[in-house]
Amino acid sequence: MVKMAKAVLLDLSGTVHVGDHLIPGAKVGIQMLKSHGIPIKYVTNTSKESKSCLRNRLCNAGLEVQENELFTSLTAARNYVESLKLRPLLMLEDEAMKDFEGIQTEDPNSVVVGLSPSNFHYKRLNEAFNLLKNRASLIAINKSRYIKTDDGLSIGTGAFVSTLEFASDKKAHVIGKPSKDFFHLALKELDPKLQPHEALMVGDDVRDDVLGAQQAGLIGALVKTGKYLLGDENKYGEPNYVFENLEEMAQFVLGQEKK
Amino acid sequence: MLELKGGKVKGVLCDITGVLKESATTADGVAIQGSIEAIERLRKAGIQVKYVTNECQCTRKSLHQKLLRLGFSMSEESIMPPAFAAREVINKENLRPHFLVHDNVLPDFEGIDTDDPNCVVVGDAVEKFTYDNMNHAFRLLKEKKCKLISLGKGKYYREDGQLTLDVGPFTAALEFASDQNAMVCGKPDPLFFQAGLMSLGLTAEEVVMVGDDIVSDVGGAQKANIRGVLVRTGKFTAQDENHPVVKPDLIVDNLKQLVDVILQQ
Repeated sequence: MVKMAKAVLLDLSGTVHVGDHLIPGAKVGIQMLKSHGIPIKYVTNTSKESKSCLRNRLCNAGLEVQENELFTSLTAARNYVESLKLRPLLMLEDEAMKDFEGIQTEDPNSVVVGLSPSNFHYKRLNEAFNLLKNRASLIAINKSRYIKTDDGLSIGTGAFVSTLEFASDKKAHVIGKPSKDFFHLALKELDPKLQPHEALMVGDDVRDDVLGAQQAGLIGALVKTGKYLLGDENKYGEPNYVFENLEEMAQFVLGQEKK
Repeated sequence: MLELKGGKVKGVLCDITGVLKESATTADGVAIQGSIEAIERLRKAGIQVKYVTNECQCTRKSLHQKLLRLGFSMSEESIMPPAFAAREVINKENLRPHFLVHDNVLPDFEGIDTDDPNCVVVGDAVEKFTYDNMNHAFRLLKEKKCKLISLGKGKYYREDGQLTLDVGPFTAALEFASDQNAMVCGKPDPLFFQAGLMSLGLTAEEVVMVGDDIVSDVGGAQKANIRGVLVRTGKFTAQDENHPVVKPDLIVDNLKQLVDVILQQ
């Protein structure tokens, strides 16, 4: 079954880049889509860096990106915390804290967890646990099991969210992928008239990127880069498409366009 | 009038932290009021006791000596910590473990081959739970397909008056990240309680388990068809009186009160 994609949502880490390096085929693929006027939004679960920091990293790697092309779970989390007037204990790296400037953090009544190795040690987790046991709510910027880093796979935010969920018997409210709201908010920001079935989501995490997108009504494509492991396409559900990299994805999307 | 239904109690499986003593970061902790006498009364009545504990921050010998210093009297062999149960599994299945445990429990694992690990053993490692150590364990589980063994799976315990994270939450983290279920050596695994019964030489109907952890102690025992009694000392909080899943066979203020009930039978 061929579906027409009018817009493309792209995961970043593992799909466009790993660390400071662009993935082969990524730049070409993105340029192909842009030169044909296909709207793009980068939807990332990143919780280690602010938008400006992320933009700089990508530009230094050789990819021109504007801040308004980025939709991050960090900004979505800040919006969520603000809308509910929560006072969070922020388990975030210093770089990510910038996106939470102006939020009151004294006498916390919530715990916000992002990818924060410097916070994921016993004492700090214990502090967060005691807040949760005292009625604080738990917010996860994402619930990623692991990510691809320069030196292999690394344990993700989701593991430490599980630590706090298990200890406190509370379920986290997950802001980022695979949350339906996250995909819908990203689409709305890209073009309020877009319907989910008109958008293609592309990522390297078959559960959080692809299946999550499908459950939100989007077309889901798995790309065999980043954290992808052989057999991922068969293990958890059925991606609509599987591509070697973003160049192959762009060729496919543009090929559809011509029909 | 408190009453324990079911057959006459001939043996007791007894938790240690939260039942015999309260935990503290310094020294040996504090004996809970009435517990020393309660154990003595059971001994005089000919009721056997085995101590099924998830304690893994020290060796069995060290734990035994702490209890003796506090005034308790029991044999070292009557204490059943998870490290011993894990040793049996390691030997039986020819496992070579990577340990993420408290340094002070390592002597109980002496002599075990740890080269080229094919298994990860996680215990109450406390300060050793850092991102880097968790990441190292995760990589062994995910990339080297190591088996995961957890020394107990309690959520938290009380120390110095405060609730503090136990091993369970960290096991849950590794299970989630690596997509596998841990084998639990210790409470609440039913096999651990059954080992207790075998050690007592009694049937489930003749025994009662007493602990302060409604899920690990009481729920775990009940899954092994043993009556589970909850004490209001240790990590107990008021919420436990109305747990959505586990209904204790009896709730008592402390071990002394349970022994009063047992001796009235």
